[in-house]
Amino acid sequence: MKGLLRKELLALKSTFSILVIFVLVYAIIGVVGDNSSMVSGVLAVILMMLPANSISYDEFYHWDKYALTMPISRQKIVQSKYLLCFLLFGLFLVVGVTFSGLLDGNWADALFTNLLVAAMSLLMSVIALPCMFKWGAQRGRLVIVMLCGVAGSWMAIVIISLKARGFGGDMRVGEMMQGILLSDGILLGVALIVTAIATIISYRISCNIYSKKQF
Amino acid sequence: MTYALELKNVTKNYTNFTLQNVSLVLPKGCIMGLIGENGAGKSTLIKLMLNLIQRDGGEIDVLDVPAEAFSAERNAHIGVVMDECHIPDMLNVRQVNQIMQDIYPNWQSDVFKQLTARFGLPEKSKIKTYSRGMKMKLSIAVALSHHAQLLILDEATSGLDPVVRDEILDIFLEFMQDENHAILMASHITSDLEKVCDYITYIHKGHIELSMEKDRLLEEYAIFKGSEEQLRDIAPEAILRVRRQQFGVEALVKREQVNEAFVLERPTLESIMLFFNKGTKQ
Repeated sequence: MKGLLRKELLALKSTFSILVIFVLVYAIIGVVGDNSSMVSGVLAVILMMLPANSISYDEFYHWDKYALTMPISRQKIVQSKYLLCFLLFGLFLVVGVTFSGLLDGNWADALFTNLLVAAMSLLMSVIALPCMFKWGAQRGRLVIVMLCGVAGSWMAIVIISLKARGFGGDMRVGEMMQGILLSDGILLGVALIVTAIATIISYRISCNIYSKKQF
Repeated sequence: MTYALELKNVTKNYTNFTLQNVSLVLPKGCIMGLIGENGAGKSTLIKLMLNLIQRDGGEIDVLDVPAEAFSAERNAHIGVVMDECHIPDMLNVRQVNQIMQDIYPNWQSDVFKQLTARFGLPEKSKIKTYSRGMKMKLSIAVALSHHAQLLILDEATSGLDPVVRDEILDIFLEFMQDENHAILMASHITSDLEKVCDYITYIHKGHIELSMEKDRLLEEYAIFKGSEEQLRDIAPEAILRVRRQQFGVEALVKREQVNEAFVLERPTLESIMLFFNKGTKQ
């Protein structure tokens, strides 16, 4: 597993350096605009896209076919992709919370917001992973884009219908969305539990798909 | 006798191709050359041995373990070189060494460094800057750096110049100094196989046409060149394949069953392959 993770990180090293520049640029924009969510947004995209990139590289080099001739089981290859997601999740939290905390000075809020966004991003990734194992990285990326679209549309529909019924008073849609998301810990708890359950189900489905995959 | 590879009645069905009842054994201490035209089933056979695809019938044992059963210990003792280098090309030799050290419990870092130096692979350059030959050399270096007992090589020497090919064949012969080692070598370069192989297996359209010791094959089989009339004087059971050309006929025959009065030529693996591929039975 250590070898697979090392390979993942070394193979993604060149992408990482570009992403660091992106995060820095958005951090500067965030500082100038006093908006700590800028960095969290970029980190969410990274968390959703890097596992897809990793699978895409493996497909390009036919790495899996080669790796399976080594002392590496099919299960371990699946595990390595989920571990990569967890590593990115951890990285998201460290960078996101640090940036938001330093900018806003409210560390509890920073942890709450970033944990929620990271959990949702991780949820998207773990839903997309079995699709990537089955149909390839390209289609898996489409699944992520579609999921983001569906989630965003659903949120917008809820807000608009709430506003039509007179909720929220003069609040803007964005403020209402933030208000709903940050209303209390219940939402975060639900998000974490849903993500955890989805991760377990997704992992089992991925193992099943991968065990039958032919190269 | 113990076998590094044992296949019994292996079958794999595709829509346009079937690998039918393939049986063969590779004894330890031997090199087997696997020959056949493109699409004959060589790579399919290798993928079945490595459990990269699922078979539809038969049994395969690799180093005494069923191919379909994952065994980290067994896989740690197999070195595989495919027709292309499948190591991500943004890595360099040093990083490959680190990764393999974490993957193989029996990784020999020193051997890997010696081999990459011997092959002239720059340590710090990314693999993407390597030529095709250099990439193949890297794959070979990986396969030889973890105490492998069985090497499975699928067109491993293709893309290499004759000097390097010769050097690599010498390395394979060094590898065979241990009597527990074995090599399965699929290649189109039949001259390489003639140099190093003990056994030859010829696969044609998913069937094993022949699988026997190379020396016996080259001694027992012979090529007759002459006219149709002369060919009629040869016992039909001695004739394996015939190729008719503008100025006469050529036949692949069993040397012992042909009268000594006929002048017979020693065949090459390439000529035998061509007879089976392009020749007719009579």
